[in-house]
Amino acid sequence: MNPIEVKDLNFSYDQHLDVVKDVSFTVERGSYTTLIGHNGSGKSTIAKLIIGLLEKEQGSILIDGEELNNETVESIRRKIGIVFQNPDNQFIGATVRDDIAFGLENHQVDPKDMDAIIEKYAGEVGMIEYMNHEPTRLSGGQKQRVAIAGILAMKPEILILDEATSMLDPEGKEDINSLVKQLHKENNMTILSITHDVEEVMKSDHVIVMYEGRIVKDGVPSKMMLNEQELVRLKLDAPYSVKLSNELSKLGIKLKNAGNMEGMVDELCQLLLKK
Amino acid sequence: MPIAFEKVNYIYAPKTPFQYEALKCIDLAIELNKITAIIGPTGSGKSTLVQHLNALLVPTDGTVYILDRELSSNQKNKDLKSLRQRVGLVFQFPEYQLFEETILKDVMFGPLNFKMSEEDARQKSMTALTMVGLDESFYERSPLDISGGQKRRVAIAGILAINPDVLVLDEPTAGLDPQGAKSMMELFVELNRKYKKTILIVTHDMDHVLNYCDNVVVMKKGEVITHQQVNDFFFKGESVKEIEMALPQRLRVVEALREKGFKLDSKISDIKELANAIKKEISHE
Repeated sequence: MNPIEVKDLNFSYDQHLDVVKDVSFTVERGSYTTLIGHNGSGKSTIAKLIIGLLEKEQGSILIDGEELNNETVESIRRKIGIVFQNPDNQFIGATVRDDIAFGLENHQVDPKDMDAIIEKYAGEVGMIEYMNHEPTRLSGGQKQRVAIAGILAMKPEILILDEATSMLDPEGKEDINSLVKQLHKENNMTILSITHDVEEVMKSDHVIVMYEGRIVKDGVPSKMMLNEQELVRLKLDAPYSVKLSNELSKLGIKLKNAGNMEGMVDELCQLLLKK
Repeated sequence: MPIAFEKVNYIYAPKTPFQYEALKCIDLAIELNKITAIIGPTGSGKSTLVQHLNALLVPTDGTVYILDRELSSNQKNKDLKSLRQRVGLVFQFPEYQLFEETILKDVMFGPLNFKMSEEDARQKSMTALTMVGLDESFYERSPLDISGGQKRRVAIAGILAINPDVLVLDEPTAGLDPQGAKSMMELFVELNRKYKKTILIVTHDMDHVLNYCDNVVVMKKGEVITHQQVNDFFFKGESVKEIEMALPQRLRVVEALREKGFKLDSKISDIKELANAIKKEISHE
């Protein structure tokens, strides 16, 4: 049974503009799946449909085999943690501590354990010094850290990240990504990450590419992300390693590891030593 | 008149339990007619710094000089409207401030607010929308029914329509798709080169800093730790390594190849040049 199964999904905000058209995909248990596409391609809409914030027009959404509808939406939401693009939309507590506590209380975590859990996750995202600060007064990137801590502390079975690290500095992004990866492995968490970060895509197990409301590619990143011209046409970008490999290919140097920077560097190094 | 910070401190919520010193004794002069990047870890004071430029924040101590204005806590800062017409500030997530019924009306709000005539405001707004890549099919749509990235463009158009001399952008490309981010950065370069706009960009994207900006200011814990020309910052001395930030992709590849024995000049300026240099090395030309 797959944690997320979407079949023939359709949705529009008004009749003229279909935002999501005949979308079907599966997210496998324990996988790290990335969902990419140009602005307005329907990515965030799909996330909102999956957690029942928007109501689908046609098609079905199954979470752990259970159909999402008015009766099941509450129980399904308990399984899914979502971090939105703008963290301001999800702060409730007056302080960082209260905010992380709020979700735990909702999940009936024993109050005895709560402080330790809050401190663990606030520490993991680098916000331990800010426990008594007001979330709304933090910087954009700090808000994102707190929002992520609040969701991770609940250890959801399925984690949906909607550009959750877009405002972090590169180091901060890497810290958060490796924390997410670690939890992903330890808890066999299923992750669906909406992102524009090509490097994150290349490290994921599976990528779904959207264009104007439809899925246009669905598969392993090292195969899906090789056609630079096609990606540009989809308003996306190829990984730097692919672009460099294309330039080298024009000069007569054909490489096997275009999709992965380390592999490419090793390959070039062997070529250097050979001659 | 340049843009300058002189011994500027800024404290949020002073004399409360939430008191927080966000800027510490900032001395900084920003070159006019250049594109300056402001980088640094989250919470280092970047947004606080730039919000001083249109007097949204006024220094707790010290003085900010901007164009012909002087802003400090011990004088009455009058007529901020004329300053805000010349210094346009685009916030993080500006799309949350869209509120009009249609996109065109939303962009027109700023110019009308600055007493431009209806017709003039309309013209300026249509030009601004074209600049950010939104054609007339968007004019009558609701700004609430478009995607996050499209909303961002509408919000930026709203500032461009006012035609400010100084444009301050707080993470303008966060959340934009790669082609959208690229065209947005190219738009800023054009505004700078063609219309001599002074542009400040708060960003985390080191590739953008390298490829599009002239100068770079690095902040850490409320202080400015480096202020250099972009080329000096990346290619001269050790400052880029000292600040422990990830290098732009091109430089990372160059570094990785150098470690493996490739003799490459770190100053290689684009991907074609890099490919050529690699080929030379491999074929021992």
